Amino acid sequence: MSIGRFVWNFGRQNRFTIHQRYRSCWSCGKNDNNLISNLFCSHCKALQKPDKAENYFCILGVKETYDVDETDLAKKYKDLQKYLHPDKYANRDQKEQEISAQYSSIVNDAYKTLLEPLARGIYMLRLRGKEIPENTEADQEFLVKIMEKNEEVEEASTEEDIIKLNKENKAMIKDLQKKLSTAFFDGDLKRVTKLLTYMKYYTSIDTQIETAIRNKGIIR
Amino acid sequence: MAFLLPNIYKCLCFRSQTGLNAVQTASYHANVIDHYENPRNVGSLDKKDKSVGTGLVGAPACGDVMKLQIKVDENGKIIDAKFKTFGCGSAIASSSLATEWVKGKTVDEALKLKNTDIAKELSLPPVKLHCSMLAEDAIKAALSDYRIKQQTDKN
Repeated sequence: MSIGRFVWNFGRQNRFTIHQRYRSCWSCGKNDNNLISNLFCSHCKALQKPDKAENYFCILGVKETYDVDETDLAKKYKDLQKYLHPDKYANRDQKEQEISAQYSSIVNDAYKTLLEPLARGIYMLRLRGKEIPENTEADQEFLVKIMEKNEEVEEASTEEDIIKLNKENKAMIKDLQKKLSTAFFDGDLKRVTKLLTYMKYYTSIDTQIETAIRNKGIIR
Repeated sequence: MAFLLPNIYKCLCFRSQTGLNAVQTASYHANVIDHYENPRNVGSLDKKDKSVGTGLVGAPACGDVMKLQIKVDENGKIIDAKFKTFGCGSAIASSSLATEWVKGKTVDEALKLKNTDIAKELSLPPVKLHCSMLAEDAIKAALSDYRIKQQTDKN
């Protein structure tokens, strides 16, 4: 590859990764292509409205992949809320207060969605124009397994039983997460949908286990 | 005065009634809560019994699983029904109601049971309609399992 081509490619890649917003400010009306922290107008320092076209990955400024780095995600989230939290806008004008409330709630939703493996998967599937089907499932072998697991959790009485089930189930979800990552990487949406429905059932079991742990007052 | 009093009474009652409705739209209908708190026919029947049909269905969108079983006598009448559901209150109520309804019906009558009837009885909101759908599919699956068992028995 020639150096020129390399530079051109590099530049092109950068244009995609460094996401910069270009718009005119709602407050002072000036065009601005160099927002401060990607949020504030560089002329009048007013907080800009959230961009409706941006997906949750863009809003938080993390790479769009199923294997998000959770520490990075948390850091980006906290950094953003430092600027956006409505408490910081108590003395600003009404319009800016509204924007901050709206923006900060979108950031909350984005963080919650991307942090949780199941919600993240469903969201990424939706970004690709697909949903988990609503129709009832007839994969009998799998359903029998799920039914049995649910019954096991229901019948578990000792602390050891519940802890053991919790461990197994968490490992199951982790394993599905790995498989999902590969399926997303391969762009195999059919497999993604299947894995996500599996994950949905195991997450339901997880909720049931967590309730049992709470009800029994088990301290971990 | 005699005319006025009932009117005042009506007026006050109407007020309290609308207040009640406002609360109910925000939560489950009384019928759902009744079936959720006192579910009818929870349990299992012997899966291997020739006169028992088992339906096992799941809703991929919400992760609910439902098992519904029917026991049919030699005249084709459903004499017992049991269910086990792991899911939300609406799914539990739907399957509980479904077992109540199919009991005493013939196999053909039970096939005509529609999810819309269940949804109507329980006043399910649109987002919970799929729960009643799950119950209908569970009945259908149980009936078809019973039919298959009977046919293989004859052959």
